[in-house]
Amino acid sequence: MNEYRYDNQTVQGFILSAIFWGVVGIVIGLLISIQLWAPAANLAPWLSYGRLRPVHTNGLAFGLGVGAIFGLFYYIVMRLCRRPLVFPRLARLHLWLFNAIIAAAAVSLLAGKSQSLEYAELEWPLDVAIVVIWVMFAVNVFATVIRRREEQMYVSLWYVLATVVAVAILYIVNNAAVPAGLWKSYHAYAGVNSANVQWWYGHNAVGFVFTTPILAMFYYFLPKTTGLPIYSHRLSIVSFWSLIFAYLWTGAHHLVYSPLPDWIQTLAIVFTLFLIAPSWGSVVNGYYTVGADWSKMRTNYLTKFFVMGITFYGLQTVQGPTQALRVVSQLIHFTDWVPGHVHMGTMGWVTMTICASIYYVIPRIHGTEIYSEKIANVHFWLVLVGQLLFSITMWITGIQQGALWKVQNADGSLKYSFMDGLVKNYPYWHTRTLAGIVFAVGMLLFVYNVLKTIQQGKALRASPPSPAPAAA
Amino acid sequence: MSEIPDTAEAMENKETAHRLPLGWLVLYFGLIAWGAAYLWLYTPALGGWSQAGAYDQAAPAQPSR
Repeated sequence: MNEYRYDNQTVQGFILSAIFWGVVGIVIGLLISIQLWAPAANLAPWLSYGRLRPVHTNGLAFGLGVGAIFGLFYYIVMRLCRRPLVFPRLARLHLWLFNAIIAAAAVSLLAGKSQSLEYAELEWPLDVAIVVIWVMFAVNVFATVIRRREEQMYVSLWYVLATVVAVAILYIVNNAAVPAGLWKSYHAYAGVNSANVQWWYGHNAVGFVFTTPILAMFYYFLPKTTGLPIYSHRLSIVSFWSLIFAYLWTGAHHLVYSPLPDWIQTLAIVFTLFLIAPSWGSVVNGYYTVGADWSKMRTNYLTKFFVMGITFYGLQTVQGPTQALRVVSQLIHFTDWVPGHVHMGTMGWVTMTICASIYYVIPRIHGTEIYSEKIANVHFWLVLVGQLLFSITMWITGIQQGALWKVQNADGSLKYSFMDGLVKNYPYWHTRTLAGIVFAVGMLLFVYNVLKTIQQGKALRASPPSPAPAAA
Repeated sequence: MSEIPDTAEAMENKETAHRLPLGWLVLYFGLIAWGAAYLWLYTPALGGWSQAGAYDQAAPAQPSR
């Protein structure tokens, strides 16, 4: 354990940073959910919906999500390569720069500086900084994998490498821009090409931030927590390569019924539907793994986090491809169905899996046990209920919205105005805020549990040696 | 419960390491077949369908403005 000590602090630093940005992002999410039904809650220009919404998405995707990915990837890579990071000091610098960049990103978005590309809002100086830290990350991961002491690469490492490579390519290509001053730039592509590149990037942000890295965690931490080896190596590898191959073709399903050439839309739809297969390869693998001993659901408190997480991944990867079909897209596109879909993935799959991984890692870093399994169980049920209430509410109002928008009078004009549809959202938007509060309370219990575990671990180290539980 | 060591060998179930469930294989190749058919049907240069053509067919003749 000691040989990893220095690197463990970096891992924990990323985890704590991710938790911090997670709390910020969730609180802002609650505020913007209120702003939708209470316009007076738009307190000042920099606290208005239009500026806070990208702070919410960037804060959670890049602050919570990528922060946790950095920390947990370092943890996983060190262990599956059975050696410390090749450049531990670089990783530490990476940690500090990461936080500086997320903070600067939040400030720039609050100031209204944006490239106006979804999930690529940050202006070019920040893009350059992000590329720099991603290269630092990539160098460390690749160097450690190349100099690994374990010959065979477990599937999690493949997902780690795919994430590192794909995000680098996606980010650089879509953020290519012509600067026009320090905080203003123009996308390197125009018109339909700009939209196509943007959604190639946007959808693969889902693929390579919310899917591949989370699968890397799932495949590593599920066997580690349950003691059950993964069901099929072959299934995991076939699913991996199929997923990586298919994902990069799918972005144009965001542009169905747009001026994008029909054949590009159709090709994207085909690859999107195909993605069900590799996605469900991991779902099936997860179920069969736990299926070797379902009693783990009762005897190990973390098993249900992973099983529920992979279940929502399975639902997400059927619902998402279905949405790409033209007949479905024309009903739900631009409606509140879409945030319902996204939040099932982010709250039900991504956050659930990240939290479970952190619950596993933090006690091991400190050679202790989790502070309270009971609190973790309450956390589980609160985030589950909050997420379901959120998603289902949004699906209902989304279908209603889409249906209203499509009704035509005999002369072809629209029967309902935008306002007619909007006011019908209010009861659902109230419910969504309630769901968000339930979820946020669950997450605060998680944060409390993690911090208390760290405190417990520190106390253990400070006190004279006692028969402490052996660390992994 | 003793923890699984960090080796690929220990992380994978040896008896079932090479299994691909039949139902999943059906899904996998079924989706490829479906994709080929859909690609043909909805690509203007192949099946003849087009977004604009479908719109013209579906939309009732608009009164001239």
